Amino acid sequence: MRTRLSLAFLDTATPGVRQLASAVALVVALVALAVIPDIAVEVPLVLGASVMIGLATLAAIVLPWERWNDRWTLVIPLVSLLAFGIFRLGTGGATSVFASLLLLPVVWIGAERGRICVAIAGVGTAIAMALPYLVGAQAWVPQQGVRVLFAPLIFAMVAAVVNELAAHGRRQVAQITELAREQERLLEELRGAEGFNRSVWNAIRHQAVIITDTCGRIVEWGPGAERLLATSRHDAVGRSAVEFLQPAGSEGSHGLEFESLLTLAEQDEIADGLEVRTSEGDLVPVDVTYTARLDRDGRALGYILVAHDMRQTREAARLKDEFVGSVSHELRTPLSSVLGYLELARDDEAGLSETQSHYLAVADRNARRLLALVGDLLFVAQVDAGRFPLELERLDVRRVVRACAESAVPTASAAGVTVSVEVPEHAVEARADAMRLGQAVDNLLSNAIKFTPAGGSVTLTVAREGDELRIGIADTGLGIPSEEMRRLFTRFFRSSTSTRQAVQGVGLGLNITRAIVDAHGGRIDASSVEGEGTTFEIWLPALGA
Amino acid sequence: MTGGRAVVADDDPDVRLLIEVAVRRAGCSIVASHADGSSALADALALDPDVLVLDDAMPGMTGAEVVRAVRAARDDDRPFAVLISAGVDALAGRAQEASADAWVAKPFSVRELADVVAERRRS
Repeated sequence: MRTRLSLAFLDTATPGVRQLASAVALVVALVALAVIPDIAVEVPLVLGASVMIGLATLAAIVLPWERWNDRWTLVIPLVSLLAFGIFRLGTGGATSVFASLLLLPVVWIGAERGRICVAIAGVGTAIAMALPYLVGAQAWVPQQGVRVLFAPLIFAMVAAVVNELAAHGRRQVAQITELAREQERLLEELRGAEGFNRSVWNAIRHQAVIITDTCGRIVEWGPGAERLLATSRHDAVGRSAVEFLQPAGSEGSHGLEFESLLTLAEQDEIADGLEVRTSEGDLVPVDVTYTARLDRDGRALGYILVAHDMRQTREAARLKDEFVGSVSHELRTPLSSVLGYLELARDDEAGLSETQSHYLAVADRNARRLLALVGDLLFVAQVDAGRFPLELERLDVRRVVRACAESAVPTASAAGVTVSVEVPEHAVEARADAMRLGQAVDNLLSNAIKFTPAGGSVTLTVAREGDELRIGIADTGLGIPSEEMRRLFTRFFRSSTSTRQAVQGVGLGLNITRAIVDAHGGRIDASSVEGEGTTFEIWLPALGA
Repeated sequence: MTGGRAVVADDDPDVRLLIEVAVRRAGCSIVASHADGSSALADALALDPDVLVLDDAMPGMTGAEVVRAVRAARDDDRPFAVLISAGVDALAGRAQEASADAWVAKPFSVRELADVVAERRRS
């Protein structure tokens, strides 16, 4: 809606409209002349004046004034002024009762832009008033000089007042127009922002966005919610958000209060384990995040809940599990054959030459390496899937460490590395999975042996320190460059030492070790001095002595 | 007396042969050898073997399902059932569910499997 303000008498009215007042006034005057008998009329002058007004009015209406300079329109009131002067002359001159007609063109002239119009109005009036004397119709007497000067002065003052009012009016119109334009611009911006917000809102089709007040009553319902919950905005607004959400597996029982939903979301940032029921009655697993909605002063207005459809994610996780299971089976079955038949072949030692026995041993060792790698990859996949079964039991950690050291002895002696164990006399216990903890210590121990040159040593220690116990694996090996320490536990990371020394591995051992320690609620530290050795420390929560 | 009569099954013929070797080393004779669970179940019920050595992951019927079906059909604890599994957490807690007497992880050592089957006679 465009606001257009104008003052009819000022700039936007056409010359035809402005001239209307003079034309109507002339008609009224002519009627008065016809009706009132005692007025002396000089017909040719009155007729001439009427023709002039008529022509001026016609010109005002038909000529294309808008094409010419504004100033040219002044011709019309000036001609009218002259015509009314003649009319006055024809109806008694100085004694005419129609002198006031002059006022109409004077007002028009005065209303035009610029002070010069005041002067034009004064001079024009003076000429119109002096007409009787100029044409010799009346004898000039000095007293008339007052009339010829005084009356135009008054008319000029009227023109000045009109001029001032018109200028003031124009300024106001300009201000109002400017305000209206500003309002229009703001409105346009607002429409733009509204359009932008609306398009963003409509673009969120894969998450159900539910906006509530502080009590959980729905005040807005996004297109994603319409899609996921197959409930129209119209049907949802006004209902409680928890009507649409329920804890997974709580079939039928409606066990969720809005407050507990918020608590759930507050604790983990994301509330998972929730379900939504679509209008078709299907239960869909969702994760819900929530954000408080605040006004400018930070007061709570309500909440914005975003429910994310977890069907695809769950399906992907299921497929990954399936894949891991199938890879596990498909890789282990051929390895079963390889290792099994190697075993059968090596059982028949009498029939084998020493070289053949050696070849079979190499094949067996490498098949076992492959098997260990498959195991590591599957383990990592299990950690990723969050399925990492631990069989926790009360465990004397000394026993695990001693067993690891014993089983490492053959490899260590082949490499010329001494392995020693330093444990306290009394039991050091933790709740742990013996097999997994053993795997963690084995990984660290086998690394230590791999990276220690012949003649070096590896020391395993177990100690209780406060509420924790510490398993230390210290070697006198090559050490790890300090800039690589940070990435040590990153999956598939291999230190420059390991690549330089061509130590076999894919970079999973330390990652798996840390996952095991994490799963036990512990932590792992590493410190190293290049050229002097490395120490790894596993810290676990200890059980009471 | 021989070490007993055995029914074995594995869908992989190479692995099946390894199982057969191990079972024979344990002193048993093989009365039936199959590549799927359903045939193994039919012979396990029909031939009344002393020992059942099955791969767990087989098409049609899994080894665990065969053992459950055999146990359901009999009121004694025969035959002695050994399941072989390549699954990730195969050994963690599935033995009770299937009522198998022993679980062996793939890849298995022929010697170890023979020991497990031979152990039966002592228990």
